[in-house]
Amino acid sequence: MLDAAFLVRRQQPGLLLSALSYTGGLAFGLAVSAMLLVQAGVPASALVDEFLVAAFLTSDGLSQTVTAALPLILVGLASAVATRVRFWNIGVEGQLWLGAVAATWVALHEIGPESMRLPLAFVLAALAGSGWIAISLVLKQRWGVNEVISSLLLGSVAFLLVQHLLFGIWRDPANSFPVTAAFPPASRFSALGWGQLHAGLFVAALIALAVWFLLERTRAGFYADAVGLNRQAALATGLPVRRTLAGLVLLSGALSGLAGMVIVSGTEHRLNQAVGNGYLFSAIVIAYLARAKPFWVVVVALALGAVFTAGNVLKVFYGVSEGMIVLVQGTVLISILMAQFFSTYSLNRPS
Amino acid sequence: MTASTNMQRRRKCLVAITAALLASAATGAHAFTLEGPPKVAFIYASSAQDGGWNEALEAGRKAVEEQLQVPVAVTENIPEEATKLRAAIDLYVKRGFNIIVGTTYGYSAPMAEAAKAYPNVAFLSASGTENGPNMESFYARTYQGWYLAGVAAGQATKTKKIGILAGFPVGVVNWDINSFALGARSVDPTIETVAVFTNSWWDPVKEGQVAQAILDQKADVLATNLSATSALDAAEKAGVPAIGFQLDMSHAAPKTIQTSVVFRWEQYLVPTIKEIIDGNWKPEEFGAFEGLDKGVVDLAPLGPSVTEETKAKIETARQAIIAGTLDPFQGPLKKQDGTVVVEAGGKLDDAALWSMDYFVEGITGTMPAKQ
Repeated sequence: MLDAAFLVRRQQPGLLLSALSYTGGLAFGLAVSAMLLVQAGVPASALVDEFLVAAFLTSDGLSQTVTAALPLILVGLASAVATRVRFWNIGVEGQLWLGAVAATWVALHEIGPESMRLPLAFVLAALAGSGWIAISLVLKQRWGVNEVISSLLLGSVAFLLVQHLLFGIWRDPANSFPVTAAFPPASRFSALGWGQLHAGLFVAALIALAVWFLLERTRAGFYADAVGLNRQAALATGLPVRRTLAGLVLLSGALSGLAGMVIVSGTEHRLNQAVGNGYLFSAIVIAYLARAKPFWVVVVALALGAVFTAGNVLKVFYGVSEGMIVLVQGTVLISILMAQFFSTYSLNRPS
Repeated sequence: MTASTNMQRRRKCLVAITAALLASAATGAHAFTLEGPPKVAFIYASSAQDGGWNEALEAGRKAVEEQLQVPVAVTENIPEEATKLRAAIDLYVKRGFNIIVGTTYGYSAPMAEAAKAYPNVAFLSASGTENGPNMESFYARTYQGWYLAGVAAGQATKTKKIGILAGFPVGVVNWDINSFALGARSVDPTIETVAVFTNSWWDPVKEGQVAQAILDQKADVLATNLSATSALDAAEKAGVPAIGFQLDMSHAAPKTIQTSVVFRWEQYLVPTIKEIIDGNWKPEEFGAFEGLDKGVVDLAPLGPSVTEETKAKIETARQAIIAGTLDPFQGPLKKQDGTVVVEAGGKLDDAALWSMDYFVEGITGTMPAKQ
């Protein structure tokens, strides 16, 4: 007779076990995705070619992968930072739009001397992003409004604001199309001469390093973990809970805003209605897969950049639809999340 | 693209950027030559079978494939973002594709950058705004077709009130609405046109609701400037004459359809791509911008309820537009609020057409504020 078994949460999953369950989930997710793609008419040999060779091993593919990964790193960090203190920032896209609007304002209205345009856009984009999430933060701290709802809805408000600007003062004066004029050269990140890669690379790298240092090496990072793990306990021990929470949430908004700035100043060189689409989903995927660890955010963002590069190839040459690409992302994500179950819990039989 | 808008831009560029642009503009005088066998690729922002804009271009693509016997590849769902579009273009060029056709205005600027990077590849940009030695934007003078549709509507209305729904207030949409109203008023100057923007290019449910709202205002002719057929469904149900756009939409309103203003992109794409292949293509400096005369814009076959008198009036107007004796926007032309746009005897140039941001006299509806 089978005795009842109990699931027991492990105090601290071993490193080997974590690694095994993670790679196992990844392998399972990739295998299922491969089956889906083969089913959709992509030859099996092409999968290896496109994913591995095209996305990482060719110069063009790698530059595309890295370029696509830059804003992903920033939104991934934004989501990770908020997740650390258990604040669900579902408004990443809204803060990104606000950051893009701030950067566009500096560029189009030629604010300040030319050499200061990018630094100014950087600061304003960060402020705009944190300003936008500050609304959700205040609503939560003052009146206990659920941040999932408020930040998500504020995302839609931000998009409507962008539409208002694009169909109003910022539309193309020649034909009324809802696209701004191109940014002057002073407001563009300079190209690095390798594909579309631009100086935003250094911005993203420095920010990632700074966030890593903050979360893993400073007292504030330690407080953040304490607040995230158990807010009541943190309060009881006298940690500055409100300040830590507010600081990290505002940082999360700032990072999203900077992602918007990196997109419009780095690759688009103008504001249009498409620049922010899809980053919310990507941000959550990255933060989850990286378990909110800054170093892994960078790794996962690069991997997701590769999925975009490879996905583009699949779309262009094999007629695979956009939905299929999202399905692959979702399959990999859910496989890894399920696999974490095995490292988080152990199966105990009563003896 | 138009002469003076482009010149304004060019002037700005000349001041702002360098002589490099001048040099590349100068080479535009020579015919463009392809390297290697011709391989064509079409890139769409959404599904090619959207029932409207993309599908009309897709019909042109099929004609290119059949009539010119060249391989034509298709990619769908590439968003209007520079990085994503450029990645797709790079992939095609790397694999030997040398004629790239983009299908939305949102591709225009990134395509122009790609055109500079790949001078031996030909770029055609539908409803685009950029041109160069190896790039041409193309659109159609759709307002000419809408004028004829307006004549049909003016003939059909009894309440002297007609309706049209459209997507966004951009120049190329505003001229359709205005020309439609002017066509109707050429039949009877008391006719009022109700115009409503849905603020979306494709939203069948909302379009159905807006169509019903227009019918509730006692409009007895309904036209759609969009890709879905919801407005025609509503018109058919109410027994009200209907006018479609982009493709022949008669299937949605078989009884009450008057006509549809349609694109026939093959009239542009087949000869242009043939020129590119033959090595005698010279991109228009300000873009290809054809109308009824070349057949790039046309009317679908008139519906069963259209009278002989109406047919004759449409035909007269068509011949006059083709001959150049009639221009929908010839003076005297007044805005909605009564201010004069064009004095008697004058007409609008292309730059003024593209930047049209007002309704003409006789239209009820609100144009979103400019500032």
